[in-house]
Formats: sequence, structure tokens, C-alpha cells
Amino acid sequence: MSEERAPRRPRGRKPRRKVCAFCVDKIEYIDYKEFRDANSRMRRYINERGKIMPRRMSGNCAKHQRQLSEAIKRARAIALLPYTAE
Amino acid sequence: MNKYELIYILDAALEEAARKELIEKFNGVIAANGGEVVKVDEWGKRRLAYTIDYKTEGYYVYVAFNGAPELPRELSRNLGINESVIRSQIVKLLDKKSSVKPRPVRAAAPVTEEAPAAVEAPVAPAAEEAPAAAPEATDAPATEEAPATETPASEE
Repeated sequence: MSEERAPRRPRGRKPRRKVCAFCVDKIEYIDYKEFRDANSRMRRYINERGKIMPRRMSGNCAKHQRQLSEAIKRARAIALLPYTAE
Repeated sequence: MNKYELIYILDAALEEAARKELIEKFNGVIAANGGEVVKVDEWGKRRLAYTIDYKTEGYYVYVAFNGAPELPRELSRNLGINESVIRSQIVKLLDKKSSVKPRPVRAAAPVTEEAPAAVEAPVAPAAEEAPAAAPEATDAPATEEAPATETPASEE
């Protein structure tokens, strides 16, 4: 586990520290109803298979990732989002 | 009194009159148990993300209501009994947080009209502006959020 986080970086530019998009937008509460739109911007936190994007990819902070996953799960429960998609 | 919101999916095959009657009936259940209906919003016929009882379509109804903590249980019991209700979900709205998600700021949306408690109003416009924000992230596809701070803040 510590291997992938090794500090040495052979060459190239430093990857930028990701910023939580929800913090940037000062969002207090992530509403599951946003998944109502097929091309809402929330959809990019879900991959083609319907999986929730991990924090290491989205850069979300813990607080917003919790809210996001809760919102996605609520949206799944009322068939706004698929549990699984091929 | 707590604030709740309910979404239920009715059978899309139901005809207009029967549907209206059912919606009235559930509003009646809320009223009869000491609650008050704040808002009823019929989303209309939608494709379900997955089939439920071999159905691919459903008629979505959104209801915002206030009521005692015992009300949701009674209401979901009633929803569960009814065969025309495919699925239902009651969520408690948190009081301290603004439950309406503000519009994406970086999409240069007018934040001013946010103030009235429009529950679903910001949803539709946000979708239209999302593509506009996407092309900003050209140089770093892996870190799409990162350029947020760099996007031209012309409108602010």
C-alpha cells in the first residue's frame, strides 16, 4: 500500500492536488433529485457500469463524498440511477 | 413537525383519473395524520433506470410535506399496500442545511434567484450549463475538478 504512495517521482510535472468540486461550489447538501436529468453534471461521479467514482479519482473531500454516495444510493432506490449497468 | 419529502412511482399504465385519485388519496393520508402537504410536483412519466416488476416506465410524483415523526411510517405503510405504487421513498429534510443545492457557481449562473425555496428549479438549468463548463478541463483530463479555480471568473 505504501508502495504506490512512494514519494519518488522519476520525471515530469507534479500532479496537481485535486480540489473537492463541491467545496469549490460551496455546496451544503447534495440532493439526490439532481440525478433526475440524464446529463446532469452529477453523472460524472458514476461510471458506465453505474459505480460510484472513488475519491482518489474525483478528489472530493470526505464530507462531500459521504453526501454524494448517500445521494447516489437514494437515487438508485427510486430508479433514477441503475444499481448496475452493462 | 419535521420536514419530509416523498417520491413515489405509480404504474405508468394507470389512466389519468385513477392517478389523480391516488395522488389525492395519499395527500389525504398526510392530512389525516396531522401533516400538511407543502408541495406536489408530478414529474410525469419517466423511464426507470432498471425494471421493477417487469415495468420499464413509471409515473413519478414528488411530495414535500411537514408532519410528526410518526407520519412517514404510516404513509409508507399506505404506499406499500397500494398495488399501483411501484416504489416509494420518504426522506427527511435537514433543517439546518439548505436542502436545495445551489447552482454550480463556476457555470456563471445567476445565484440571485436562488433565494426562493424552489426545490427543483435549479436542477434543469444546471444541466444545460454543465457542458459549458466541461471544455475548461482540456489540459488535465484526469483532474477534471482541479481547473475549477482557474476557469475565467468573468461573471463574478
